[in-house]
Order: sequence, then structure tokens, then C-alpha cells
Amino acid sequence: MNETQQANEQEEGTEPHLELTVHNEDDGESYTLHVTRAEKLARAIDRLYEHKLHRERRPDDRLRCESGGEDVFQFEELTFKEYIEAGHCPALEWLFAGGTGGA
Amino acid sequence: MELTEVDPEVAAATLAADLASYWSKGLPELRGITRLRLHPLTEIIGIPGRRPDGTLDPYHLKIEANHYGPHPVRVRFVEPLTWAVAQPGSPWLPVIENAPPWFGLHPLYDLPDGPGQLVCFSFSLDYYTTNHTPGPTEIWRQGERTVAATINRLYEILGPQYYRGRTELEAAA
Repeated sequence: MNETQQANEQEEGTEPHLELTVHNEDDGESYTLHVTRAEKLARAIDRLYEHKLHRERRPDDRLRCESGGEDVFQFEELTFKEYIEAGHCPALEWLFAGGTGGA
Repeated sequence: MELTEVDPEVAAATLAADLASYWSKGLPELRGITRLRLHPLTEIIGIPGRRPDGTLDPYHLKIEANHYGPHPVRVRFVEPLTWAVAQPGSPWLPVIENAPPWFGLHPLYDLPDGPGQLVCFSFSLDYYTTNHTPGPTEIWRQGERTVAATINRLYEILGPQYYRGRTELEAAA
């Protein structure tokens, strides 16, 4: 194990990773991200944009819990431990949607 | 704004590929969304309306892909079996309350080809032919958005947050 991996484990703890599923409602793709309980939602969201969506975050993007539709962005400063223990989105299944115009 | 039609074979191939990709992920089945191919460029998408009390009402949307790829599909609520466009007062039009700013349903609207139904959001073709101007983050972008976006937004609108039941003839009169 190299120094970077060790640092990551210290930062994230040694717990098994949790599986986070994100459905991209704009193109029908689904992604799996592995996160730890110590990780902040913000970091997972950054990884989602960088490695899965391959674009910058936009002001009217939406990220919701698949069950119930609760906004996820408002909790991005929480760790997954805090997020789960507070009862938010226990299935860890999110929906991503970009801006939409209409009416 | 007049939109150029896409070569029918190209549009049909794009639609088929995007629908197949969307269905391959399993989410449509989990949501009770169905599809029926009428023609290489025309599909009927079934989406359950989900009332706050848990009641489910089936709805049918005809999507037409003559411009699909560079532009979204045309989408309209239709009657079952005949697939005729649902007219004002039809029970096959949903009642939507407190719609988000990005969605409107107009049973009768002044369309370029005459009065008709407008499902109004930026992932619906008619939005672009009826003098609407989407913001830069809202506009249809080929590659980033597919017919899945159109279906998923309609699934959201037909969910308990906005859907209140079927249009009733007496209510519409």
C-alpha cells in the first residue's frame, strides 16, 4: 500500500465502502459510486461530475433522493454517516437532472 | 421557429438506440413505464400517474421522432387504443397542480399546424416551435440529453408531488 492509499484510508476510515447509485435522468444512464461513511457528500458529488457526468456543475442542476425526491445538495456538507443516521435516503439511490425550461 | 426534419432512418436508429439503452438500465420497469412501438419513428410510452393517496392511473404519451437527435421528440397525451391526441376535457389528460416552473400542459394551444395540445417543457419538440426561448442550461443538447430525459421529466410530473387525478369532463366544462 503506498502513502496515498494509506492517507486515503486514514481519511476515510477502514469501513467497507457503501454503494451509491445515481440515475442520470437526462440520458438514462446509471452509475455506481463507492463511498465511505466518513466521506462528505460534497466529495462524492464532485466525483460524480468529474468521473461520470464529465461536466461542470450548473446552478439549476438537481440531485434528489430517488425515494421521496428530497434535495441532496442541501446536505453536501454532511458525511455519509451523518446523512444516513439522520434518515435521509437510506437506499443511497439518487436522481440527477439538469436544468429544464418550460411553462 | 421552424425545425428541420432528420433523415428518417437516422432519427429512427437514434431513437431505437436511446430507448434500448434507457430500458437496459432497468429503471423504466421499476417505475412501471412501458413502451409500444407503432412505427420506427413513433412510440407509445405508458407512464403511471401516482396520486398522493397511492392511487395509480395509467397515461399514454405518443412520442414522434421526425426531428429527433438534434431536437427532442414531439410528445402528446393520447387516448388508449386509438392513440388519438387527448382533447380538452379528456380523462386521458392529467390534472397537474403546483407544477414546477419548467413544465406546463396546455390542452389547447395555438401551434404552427393549428390548435392542439402542448406539453410544454424544453425536452418536448413543440416547445421550440411555439416561441419559447430556453436558457443556456435548459436547451436540448444532443448527446447530453436523450428521449430518456423527456420520459423521466414526465414521470416526475405524474408523481404525487404534482399529479392530482384525471381531468373530468364536468370540471373542464
